[in-house]
This record gives sequence, structure tokens and C-alpha cells, in this order.
Amino acid sequence: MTCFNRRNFLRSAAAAPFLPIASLRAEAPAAPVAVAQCKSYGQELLPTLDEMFDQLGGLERIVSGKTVAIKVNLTGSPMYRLGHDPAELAHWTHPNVIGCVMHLMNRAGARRIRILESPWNTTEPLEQYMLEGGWNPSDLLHAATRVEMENTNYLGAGRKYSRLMVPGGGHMFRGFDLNHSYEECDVFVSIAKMKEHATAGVTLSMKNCFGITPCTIYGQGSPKDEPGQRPAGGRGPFHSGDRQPAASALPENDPSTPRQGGYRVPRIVADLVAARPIHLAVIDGIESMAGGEGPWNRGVRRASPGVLIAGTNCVTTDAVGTAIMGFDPMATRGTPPFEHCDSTLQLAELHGLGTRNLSRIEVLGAPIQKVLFPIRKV
Amino acid sequence: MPAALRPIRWPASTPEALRKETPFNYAVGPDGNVPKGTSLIEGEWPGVRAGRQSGAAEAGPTGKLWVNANGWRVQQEQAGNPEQRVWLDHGATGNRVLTPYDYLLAMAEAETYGARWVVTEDAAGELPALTQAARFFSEHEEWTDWATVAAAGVISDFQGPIRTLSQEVLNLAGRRTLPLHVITPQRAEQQPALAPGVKAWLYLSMKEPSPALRAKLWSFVDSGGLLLSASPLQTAKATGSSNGYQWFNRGKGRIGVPDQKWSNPYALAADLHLLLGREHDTVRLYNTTAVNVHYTASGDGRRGVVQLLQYAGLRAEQNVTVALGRSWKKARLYTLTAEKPEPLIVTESRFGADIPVPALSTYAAIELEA
Repeated sequence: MTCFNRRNFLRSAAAAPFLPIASLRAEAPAAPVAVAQCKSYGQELLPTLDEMFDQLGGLERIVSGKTVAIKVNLTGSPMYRLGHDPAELAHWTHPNVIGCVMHLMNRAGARRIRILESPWNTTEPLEQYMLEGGWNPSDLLHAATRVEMENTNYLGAGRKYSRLMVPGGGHMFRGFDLNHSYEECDVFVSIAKMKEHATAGVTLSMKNCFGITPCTIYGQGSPKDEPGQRPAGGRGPFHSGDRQPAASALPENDPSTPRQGGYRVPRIVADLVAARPIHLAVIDGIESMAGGEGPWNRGVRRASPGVLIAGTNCVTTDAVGTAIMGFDPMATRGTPPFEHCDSTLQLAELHGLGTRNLSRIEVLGAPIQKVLFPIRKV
Repeated sequence: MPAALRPIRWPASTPEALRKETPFNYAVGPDGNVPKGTSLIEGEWPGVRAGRQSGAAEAGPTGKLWVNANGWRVQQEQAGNPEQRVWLDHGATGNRVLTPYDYLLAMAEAETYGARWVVTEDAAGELPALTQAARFFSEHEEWTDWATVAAAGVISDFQGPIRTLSQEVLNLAGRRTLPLHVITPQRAEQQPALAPGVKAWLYLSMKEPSPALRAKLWSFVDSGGLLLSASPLQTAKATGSSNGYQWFNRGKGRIGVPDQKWSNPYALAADLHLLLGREHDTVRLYNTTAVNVHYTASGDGRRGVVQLLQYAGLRAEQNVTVALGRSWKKARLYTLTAEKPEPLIVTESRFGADIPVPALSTYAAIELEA
């Protein structure tokens, strides 16, 4: 006969980490998600986004009079292309999507807009990084009245790193030391690309925030004690757990947990979006790629889903995005797209950030079935 | 005439008839005899540097593969005398086993920068391929007269304590795909004007420039140029400090003097590139790991050539795109093995022109027409 005492309860919790925590949580909140078909980055883009934001209740209520920080996705080296196509047609957020969102935010009364990204292995200004990738950053700098850019892969223009804590303690980290820009904003926006991810299953608005962490602290070559002056290497330690961050930052909660990317990355992402909540999630699924998150993955190919997704809740938005990609957002480890990893959606839901249950999510605009793009069939 | 000569170290056993069949018409002996107007310099076998421990390719400070390249040696040698014919003589290979690819790369690299490679005795088995390559470069000898398309330049005498720093700046700028004009202070002083098109100069010398050169540099800055120099060249007080430099405004331009003595050549090459700004890039490469580029154009700007050197051995680079900072109408691809050039598609871009290149191994030249 099984005796359900506290010790057994904790043992079973370690074996099946989701169940007991979930049972202790209140139901995660739901929020509507706007979906639209959009086949190109041309003239249809701006009115489409405009309508989507209207469906969500208007941008004014989110950004008016506010400092807005936008995390974009410029993953990998700017010298990488999938085939010969520019990065924005495969793995980077397209600049037209960023520019149109900024334009609409400006019209909605945003006081200041900061574009943020932690470019690969460099302290170069973000503008220079964009130029290297073939963009003209002045297009974005002039998309609204007061625009700034910051490379957040190091201390940047701040005097010190900002420590943002994970409410409830975090799956893997209690808090993170980040570039000041992630704290010094009223509104935080993730403009992501809709694509698969070799480690985390999908890349959507939450996974985009993996890149808010500075590699001066969390990178492969960061010093042992203090943050480095320059980022050195990528975020390998987040994947492999082969080392702790610089000692100036909070260490992992439990270094005895699996040293496996599929276990660690989804938890770290869920912790990050709990520590730095996303107020608006925008997913660029107009042109994208299948099979991974960048040209460096094996077997990747171009994809043209022709869809835009936006919402004020990152979990519900990503749940709809996951469904549009042809997956079940309720899927757990072992089921596509999470064959080799835990579900970031599930882990974020456990944080109480939002629901991934489609039956609780109102989809505005185009129904999921209409824009369904089973990405594995590309 | 040195330009027509192709040097070789013949194995003693080579029959006279064979010697006459090849384009290699100058035998370099053990004493390193070279004709007048030629400078024989020691290079190193080009290629990706293998790690000391693992034997795997080693990454350099650029994050890209570390390559042993010799283009910078030629640039340095020609900085004081561009008429000088440079012959590159690669010495012992150490533990490295050379492949046919290595001999071709050695020749292509030297020719790309307007030099000659002294064919080594052990290359006898590769003479047919090397002969074909030599004929190709002879047919395109005019490319060597064209000027580097660069927005940045280095003025250096490559002497004293800054010698190594200056050399490595040339080498690492190449790995950043930052083409450079390279000139000595003496020659810069003698020339009627500094190279047109250059928007940023790096002055690397232990000596202050002569009054004549200083006047040229001031004129360059006054008209909007950027000068990085260890001293402010007697310009008035600094007007600000940022990015590790004290800034001295002059006319429409500025002079940057480092807060701390320059010591890291990679950081210095990066400073030159970023303070100039990537908006002035003349060429960018996508999807390359071990490729250096030499981009030159005719004086009237109507013709140009992008020469690509692939240092990673037989493994061809795939999906390479060459992006150029100006528009070109036509492009043709030459390789050392194709019988005739292949037309390439040129796509207009915000930067200028994008040119997709098929799989790239060892060497390719993209001839351009405006």
C-alpha cells in the first residue's frame, strides 16, 4: 500500500515535475490573439498590423506616453544566410514588420522606442550589426520620432546590470542580470519570427527572449567572477549547463538537474519571460524557415507561411502560433514539436503567465484553420 | 621585365625540355637570386591553421576560422613601391602534408594581390595544373593594375615597435572583409593626393608625419575624413571622448587619438572598421568561413574584379553571396578549372549589388562591368 506522506509527494514531484506544481497553481490567464493572413512585406503589411492591433483593443492603451522596448530576433552571425536569401526572409524578424509596428506605436503616442538585441559575440552598436546583415538601420531610426537602439549583449550604455527576479523562484534561475534597457522601459515587446527550434521545438515570442541575456555573464567565455567587458562566445552554458554564470549573477537553483538542452532551455525561457514580462507579442510568420532556427541547422529550408500573429499575452500568442505551425500547443515532451525537449508553453503556463489551452483563447481575425501552415510538411 | 617572369625552384632532375614547356621562366636558386625590381619575401603556406592539440581548425579572434594568409605581406611590401614586383617564397611546411589544392592556393593567393609565388621543388607533380593556372593569371594580368576598392587605409612605415601591430592590422582587416589602401608615409608624402575614395585613414608610425604629409592629412580631415592616429598631429584641444578615443574636430572631419596605447591589432582593425561605419563597406561576404576577398576596379570605375580565396581546403563553401557597395550591371565567374567564364546573376540591393556564387573552392574571380 502506498503511503502518501510529504517525502513521497516530493519524490513524485521530482520524477514528474509538472504535475504537482500545476496542481498548486491557479488557472493561468487567457487573452485574445489576433491572427491575419499577410503574404508579403509590402503595402499590405501596415494596414494588416493596424487592424490586428485594433482587434486587440488598440495600441494606445498599451504604449501611449510610454517608453517601449522592442526585442527583435537577429539570431546568429549577420553573415549567415539560408541559401542566398537575406536573413529577414528566413530567420531574422523582417525590418518592415519592426518598422510598421514602430510607426503604429508612434501614432499611438509612444514616448520613446528602443530596439534591443544581443548580437552574436560583439559589442558593436546594433546599427552596425544591422548594416552587416544588409539592413539600413536609418529606416528604423526614422520609423518613429524618438528611436534608440542598444546592443544588450553586454553592459551597454548602463552603469550596472539590472537584476530582474522570477516571481515564485523560477524553474531554473531565481533571477537574471540583464542590460539596463530591459528594466528601464514601461512596455516590453517581443517581435519574433515563426520558426522551429532545434532545442526548444518552436521559436516564437517567448523563445525570442532567450537572447535578452548578456553573454558577458551567461556566455561560454564570460569570466568566472565578474561580468566580462565583451561577450565571448554564445549561450552554450544555458544549453549544456557546463558552467555557471559569472558569480556576480544568481546561480542556478539546482545544479544537479539534467545537463541537457531540451530540459534547460525551455525552463530558462519560461523563467526569463516571467522575470521580464512581455506586454505585446508580435510574430512575423510571413516568410520564414522550417527545420530549425537558423541556417546552421541541418536540413533547414525556406518556408512562406504568410501569417502574422499578435497578442498581449505571450503564452496565448505562442500557443496560437504553435497551432498554426501544425502542432498541438498542449503537447508535452515526446510529442511534436517537443520530441526532445520540454514545452516552453507548459513551463510558462506553470508560472501562471498564460494558458496554452486553445479552448480558452479567443482568436480574432483569421481562424487558425484558414492560416494553418504545417511547417513540418515544407 | 619582372612582370613577365614566373619564378620556380626546379628540381635538379628536371629535363630541359620540360622546363621550356611551362610558363615558369625564372629559376630561383638556393641563393634566392631575383631580378632587379623584384622583392623576394618569405611567406607561409596558406590555409586554415590547425589547432596545436586537436588538429582541428583553429578559430581566430574574429570568431571565424584562423587562416594563414599572405595578402597582407604583399600589401606591406608594395606600400612603399607599388611598382615593385613581389615574389612570395614559402618555406618549409613543418608537419603539414601539402595537397594539390595547397599549391594552387599558393599561386592564386600571390597572383590575386599582384605578386608571384615561387613554385617549390616539390610541386613538380602539379605542374600541369599550375601551368594552367599561371596561364589564366597571365591572361588577366590587367587586373593587377587595378586599385583596391576600399574606404579605409593604413599609412605605416612598418618599423620599430609598431611593426607587428601594423602587419596584423592588415591581416585581420582582411579577415573582417575590410579592404585597405596601404601606403608608407614617404610615398603618401610624395603623391599628389591621398587615395580617392578613402574615408578613414589609420596612421601607424612611431614618427610624427612630416610637415608635408601632415598638411595632406589635415586637408583630408578638413574635407570630412576620419583619421585615427596615436597623436593629434598638433591639432588644437580635444572636443570630446567616446569609444576609447579622444576626438579632435577639424573642419568637417575629426581625428581620433586612443585613450590607451594601441596594442591589440584585432581591436584596432575593428575600431577602424566601426568608426568608419559599415555603411561605407565596399564588399561583404555571406556564408563564408575561410574566404578572403580582394576587390579592385579599373581607374574609370567601369570594370572591376572580386577575387575570392578559399583557405579551407577541398571542402567547397556553399551558397556564398558577394554583396558590393555599388551597382554593377554584369558579372562573370572565372575559376581555375572552368574552360570559360560563367555569367552570374546580379541583383540590385539596398547596399548596391548582390551576386550569388556557386560552390566556391580554392579560387574564383568575379569580373564586373558597370
